[in-house]
Amino acid sequence: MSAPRQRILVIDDDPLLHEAVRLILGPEGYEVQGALTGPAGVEAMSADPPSLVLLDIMLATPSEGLDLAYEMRKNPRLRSVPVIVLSAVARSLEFDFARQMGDRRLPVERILEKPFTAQGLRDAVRSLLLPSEVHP
Amino acid sequence: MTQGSNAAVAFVRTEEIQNQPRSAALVSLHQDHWFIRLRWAFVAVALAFLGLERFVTPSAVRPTPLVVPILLLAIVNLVWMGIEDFLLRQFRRADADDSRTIRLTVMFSNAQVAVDLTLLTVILRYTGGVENPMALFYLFHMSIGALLLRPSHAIVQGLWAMVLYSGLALGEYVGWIAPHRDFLPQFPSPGLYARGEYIAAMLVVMACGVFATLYFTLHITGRLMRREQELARAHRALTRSEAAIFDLQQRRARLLQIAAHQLKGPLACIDTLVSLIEERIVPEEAVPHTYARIRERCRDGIQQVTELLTLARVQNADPLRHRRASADVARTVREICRQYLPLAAAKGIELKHELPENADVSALIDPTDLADCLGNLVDNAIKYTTGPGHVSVTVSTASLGLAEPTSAAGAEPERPDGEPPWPRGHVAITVTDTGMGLDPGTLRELADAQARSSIFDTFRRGNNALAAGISGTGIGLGIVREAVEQCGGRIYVQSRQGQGSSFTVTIPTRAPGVDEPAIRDTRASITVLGQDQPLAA
Repeated sequence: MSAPRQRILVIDDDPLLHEAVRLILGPEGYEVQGALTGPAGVEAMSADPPSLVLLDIMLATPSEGLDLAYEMRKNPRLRSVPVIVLSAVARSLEFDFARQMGDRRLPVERILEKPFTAQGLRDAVRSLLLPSEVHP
Repeated sequence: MTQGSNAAVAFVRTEEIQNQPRSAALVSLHQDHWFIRLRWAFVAVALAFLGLERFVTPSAVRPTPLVVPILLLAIVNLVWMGIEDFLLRQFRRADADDSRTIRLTVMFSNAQVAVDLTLLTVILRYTGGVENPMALFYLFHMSIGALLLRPSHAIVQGLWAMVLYSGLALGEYVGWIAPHRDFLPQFPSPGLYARGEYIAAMLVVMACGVFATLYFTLHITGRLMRREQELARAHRALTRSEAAIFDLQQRRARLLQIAAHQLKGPLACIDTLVSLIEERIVPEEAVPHTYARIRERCRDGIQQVTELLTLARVQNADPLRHRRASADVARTVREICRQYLPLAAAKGIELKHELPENADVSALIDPTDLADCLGNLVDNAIKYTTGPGHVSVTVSTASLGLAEPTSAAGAEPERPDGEPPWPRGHVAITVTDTGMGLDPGTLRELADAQARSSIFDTFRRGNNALAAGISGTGIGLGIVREAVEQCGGRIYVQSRQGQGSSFTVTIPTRAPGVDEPAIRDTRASITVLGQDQPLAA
């Protein structure tokens, strides 16, 4: 009997990005689910915690994505869900925001700067989700 | 005493100017303190002078009654100090009955002047009476009285001074006050106090001196107080301008960072999709569709840059240009509605406008800015309304006839029931739609002055608009806000999710007063109207 497919939640306000992620990770065996806003992402996570979250930083507010990452770390059900930040300005925001929160680094596993390559995204996801689980 | 003085000064400085009687009482208390110190100086000089006189001419002995009023003055001064301290404590108390303390302060100042005049007369009686040039001290007291007291009270004190001086002069003249004492033991009296013509001349001169001093001092004090109030108003206006500039600077700094993200986002997405096509990750049959999406995204990017340029034009232009400009509101509304009619019709939306009977309405705003502002509001209304629906643009001049400057405190005057919520002297343009409305979270943020951002911030979009996947740049309302705030207008928002929204912008129709800040404090320019009222038609 095969294990259920790994579910990846993309929280980004650009539907085209959801499409790109689906094209890259779909053939890898992942189920890609999209949320266009922070509240929609929270709703999707609360219903069923995903295996991994791809998160944009600037959603409705300039730091809504990072606020969401901090909230996830406080929630026992979502604490262990790995987060990859996908952002056009992630690097320039990372230090300022972490310092503001009193941390040395953000509570995320990887940061991918947009534009990203298909291979870059695949590698980042594979490094966080075991391949055996990916290919049942 | 010094501590008391500092406390009084601190009170006066921190006092809100709107509370005039309390503020005036505190200023008067501060001046009383200075008056008390002056009295100590007089007591010290008078006693030192008597001591010196005794040392130089041991044979000339002053009558004991002369020392009595001087010592009495010292004792009374101690009492004044105690009362001053008590009154300051009363003003500090949170539960203080201000009106009672203010009344006591007025009585305190009056009592000091009246008692001083009385003691001065007693001292004169023992130092030469009307022959003593120290009678000029009456004039000095009149100056102090005019500074400390209300004009009517100062005039009563002038009358009291004349009663005392006349009593002394006439008393000595007719012999009720006897024996006469010399001004200095070394200089025997020439007997002027007993000559009627001298007494008459002195009374006339003294009366002229007392009332002329009162008149000029009161006149100058009144002018100074008016200037002080003008200065305080100008200071408040400047403080508000400073706060507005700081807020503006912060907003612009954030804008640069966000603009970089928003412009890089679509480009990055296009780059990724092109690479996916090149690497044949996009299935052959989906390539045309992907190209169409890429093109769509390019157009979005171009639209963003166009709107950013509009925003930059509004932001960078001279903010005072609106005072020099005048826009025809009715014509602009008709023109914008004509422009958007095809777009509305294509979506099955009825777009209509409603102008007041007197359609000749002009507002103090740059005409291009007004067109941008209205264009964005109508564009949004159509964008977030699905057909069949309605979008209406209404111009209201309801409060035009009541144009008047805002009060000194910058607060709006009370308005009768039923009068619109916007400031008097503004023309209001309301764009109402029957679209999706704002979600409660977005509306809450808008109503919360402490919220980090709102839909009027550049690139910020409502959550339900994002969730519905409706494309937009998030710049339109930023342009609206910038244009309205710069011309000194206000924005009112009313919305219900699923029922529609109503955005009202108000534009001033009169030039601001001299004491209004040149750069307006824009942090309170957006108001969310209650949900209990129906959406404006």
